[in-house]
Amino acid sequence: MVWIIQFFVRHRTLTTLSITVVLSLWMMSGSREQQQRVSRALLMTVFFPLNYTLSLTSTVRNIFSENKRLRAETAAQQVKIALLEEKAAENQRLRYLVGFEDNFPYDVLPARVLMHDPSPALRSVVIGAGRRQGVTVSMPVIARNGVAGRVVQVLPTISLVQLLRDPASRTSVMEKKSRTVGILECANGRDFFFRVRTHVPIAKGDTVITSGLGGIYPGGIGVGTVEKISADANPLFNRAFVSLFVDFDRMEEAFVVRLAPQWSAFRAEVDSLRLVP
Amino acid sequence: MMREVAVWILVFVLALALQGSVVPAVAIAGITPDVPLIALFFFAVRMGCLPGILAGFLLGLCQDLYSPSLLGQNAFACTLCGWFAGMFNDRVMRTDPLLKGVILAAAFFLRDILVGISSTAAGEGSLTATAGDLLFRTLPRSVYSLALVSCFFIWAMYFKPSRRK
Repeated sequence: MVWIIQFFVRHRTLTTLSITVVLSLWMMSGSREQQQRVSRALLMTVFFPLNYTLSLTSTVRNIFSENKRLRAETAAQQVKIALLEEKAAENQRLRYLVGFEDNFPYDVLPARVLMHDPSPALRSVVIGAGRRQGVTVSMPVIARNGVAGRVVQVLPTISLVQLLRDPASRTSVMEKKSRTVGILECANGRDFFFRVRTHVPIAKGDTVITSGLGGIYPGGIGVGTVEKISADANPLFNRAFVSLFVDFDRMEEAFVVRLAPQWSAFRAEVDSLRLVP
Repeated sequence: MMREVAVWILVFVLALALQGSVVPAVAIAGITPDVPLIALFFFAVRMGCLPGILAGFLLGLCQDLYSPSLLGQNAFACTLCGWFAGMFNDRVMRTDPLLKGVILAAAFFLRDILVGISSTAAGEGSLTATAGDLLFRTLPRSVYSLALVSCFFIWAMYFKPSRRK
């Protein structure tokens, strides 16, 4: 017995090699069921710490993949939410417009704003209604809050609307309380004003409406409120600066008022005057 | 001594974890380096034959347990690889890095030959397939592994802060 132990100690490398090789061969020679039993026994005893560590690694890997999947899902949900919010806002606007259309005394044609003028001054917009919908040149265009502009060009399905912001635009307006009439102008695309006599009692906060005298806009439509009064170059007049009701930058819908210009009846006569040699 | 053993155990666990997680992501044409075998090689070269045999057996057994291969197949191959690498123990003979690379490549071939033979013996393969695998899988894998080890050697020789001092 001592001899055997001494042999093992002296030739421990060879002995260990032999034992491990024999063990390996024994495991290989076993049937599948036997191998599975040995595997399970080893995993639950000797290799349990390693098994636990590797399972933690796979858990971490799963967490990473789950995190990635959840990020993608969150992004998709956020897009959905944004779309739904947009729909809800549009729904609210349209509900308001339906009510507006019913209460407004003129025949109006609702149209979506398709394109804004790319210039910073934002002088015009394109709306999605044209000749086929009965739109003609010089028809007034209003937004939900007030006057927006007038149609200057008509194509079969779209129209170009000149906004009040256009420096070339002139609109006849009236201060609601004093009934003072003036011409609304805009020189720089931001500041709107009309001239009033210095003795006219006009104050900040007074409402300005269309006068109906210009021939394009019907009277009584809201334009804005007086923001400030300042002296004009002409000492007989003051300038009443107006803050418009309509926010042109955020205009998404518009109404074309189906109203022919009041001066259209005289057009033929004017044209005939031109033809006279 | 105990500290060194603990460090090596950690290295083996890390090598197995890397082989199962990160290494497949750096595969080139389906060829991956064999990180556990590299770790076993350096362990055996540093510690000798007996620790190499024991570490090889346990490491191979781990691989058998976590792969659908024949139980004992990798244990058998890695045991002999550990013994083979342990014969070039640093305490017995000093070998330069180039020779170490050749021995590592030989270890790769030895392991795959033993796995092929055991598969053939178990009726799950053939010697012809083993020969093909040696050419098309073992050779590229050993080259890839040697490239990785070379990078580590270059870093250790020239860029390691303690070396530069």
